[in-house]
Amino acid sequence: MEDLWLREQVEGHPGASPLHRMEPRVKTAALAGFVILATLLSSRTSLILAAIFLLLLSRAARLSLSHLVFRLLGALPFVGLVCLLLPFVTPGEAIWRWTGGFVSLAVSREGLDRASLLGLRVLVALLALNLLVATTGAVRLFKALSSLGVPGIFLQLIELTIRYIFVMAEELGRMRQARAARGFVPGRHLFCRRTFSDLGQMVGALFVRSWLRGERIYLAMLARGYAGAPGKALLPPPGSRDLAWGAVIVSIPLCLHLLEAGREAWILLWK
Amino acid sequence: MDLAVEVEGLHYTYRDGTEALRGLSLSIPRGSRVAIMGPNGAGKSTFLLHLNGLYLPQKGRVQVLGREVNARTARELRSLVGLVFQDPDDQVFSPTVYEDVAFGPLNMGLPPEEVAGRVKEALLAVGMWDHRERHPSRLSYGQKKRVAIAGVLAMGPEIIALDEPMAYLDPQGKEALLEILGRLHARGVTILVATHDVDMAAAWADHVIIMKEGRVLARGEPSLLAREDLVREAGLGLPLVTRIFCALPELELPFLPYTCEQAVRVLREKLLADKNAGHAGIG
Repeated sequence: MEDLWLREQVEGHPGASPLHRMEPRVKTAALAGFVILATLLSSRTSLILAAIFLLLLSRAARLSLSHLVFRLLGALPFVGLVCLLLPFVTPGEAIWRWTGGFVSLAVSREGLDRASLLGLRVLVALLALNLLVATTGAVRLFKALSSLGVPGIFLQLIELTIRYIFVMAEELGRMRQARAARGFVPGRHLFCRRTFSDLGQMVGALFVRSWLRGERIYLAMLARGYAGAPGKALLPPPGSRDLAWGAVIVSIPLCLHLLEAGREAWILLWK
Repeated sequence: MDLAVEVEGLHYTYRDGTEALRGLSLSIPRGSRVAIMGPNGAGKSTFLLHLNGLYLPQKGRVQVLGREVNARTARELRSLVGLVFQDPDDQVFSPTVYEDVAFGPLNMGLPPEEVAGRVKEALLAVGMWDHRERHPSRLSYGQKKRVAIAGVLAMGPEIIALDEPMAYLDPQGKEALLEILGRLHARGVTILVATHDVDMAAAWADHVIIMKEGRVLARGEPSLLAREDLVREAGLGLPLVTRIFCALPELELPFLPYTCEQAVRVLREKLLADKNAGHAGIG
């Protein structure tokens, strides 16, 4: 199961849905445009609407909800911490106060607003990113980025990381196994002295091995005439159907902006 | 004689002070199948890295296909001499099999149609065409090895040097590899293999070079591998076939066989002779 999932992440799964089939450059540019426009939205309602639109797209692309949640949880430590602190550190009208001895904590309305807006913006960006990666696959995505003008050396770094992360994980697994075969039992927690020093040694050994492997890879690349990062990938021009889909994606946050800008006017019109 | 490789008094010392080559001299005829043998640290891999100018001679000289190896010829030599490294994970680095095989031809600056043609031919030659869209990390070890060879084949080299090609391959993988090497040889490619595998060398090579401590200990026909003194000195073992016949001095053979074919022929002759002698005895 996991193996299949990894394969899909890397090799993509063309043809599973219209979004999977969409031309990767148009998809990348459209979703990037979506994120930029959507994160500039300033009301919670419109941000929520943008997130709902992305969720609907993810649903249409038949993406697995559990993987989505898994990915969002990965970002939680970073975003969650900031969102948790913001209400306490932003000055403004206090809506809740706690005093204990010397310490006094207050939650401000402005802080809550800022935290919820930040949280929603990150959510929208992550949803769009997940949609892009999951429906494109790393290989096609990098080709699209290269063709869109992202520097080759930068992409090559990411590509090599993806390529060798599996090799390193296998190496780590073998090292672990070899230790276990000689009777090593890791302690229950990281702060057990033996476990900690063992972890340090493993990381060190892995570092040295990876460095040596890096040297060998470079030699092997030179042996096949490598002389610097590759140029732009050449892709056929996108079809009109792809462009139309891209326009639809970008038009959603644009409409939301229009709604925001003319909220008063809309309300007046409604009346 | 038309030479593929000619080496004279080659020295190479690594930055940490390890003297890997100490006056290596040898010559390899064009179109031959050469096994370069020797213990770990004999300098086999260091020598191979000189063939396409990845390492430049610190002392002495190396000539490949009539060209002196130096900084100026190194680039040209990269496409004339293909190196297949021991660990395919070191060599196969691109996100897809197809792109990896295309890496060398693209570096050579060939036009796209020519690259596509070469990649297809190379992948068909190693039987990996059906896997062209796969990510290398999802392939088996033997498949990665074949992709590594295809990546070198696509550059159309006249010499292919393989470092320990049989290491970690399962028996079927070994057989497939030998078949590929056989086909390449038939096309006129000079093939060098650095290996400890005496059985493979005895069965496959037409030239054997035995190295020790950065020099050539002995060179000649594969029958060298049946000489116990030499093999012992080089830290190798006798081929399995030879070991069996060493244990049978009562056969009184004029020479020690080192391949299965030789062993079968010798035994058959012996059997026939015994049969004839038996008939004569009855008559």
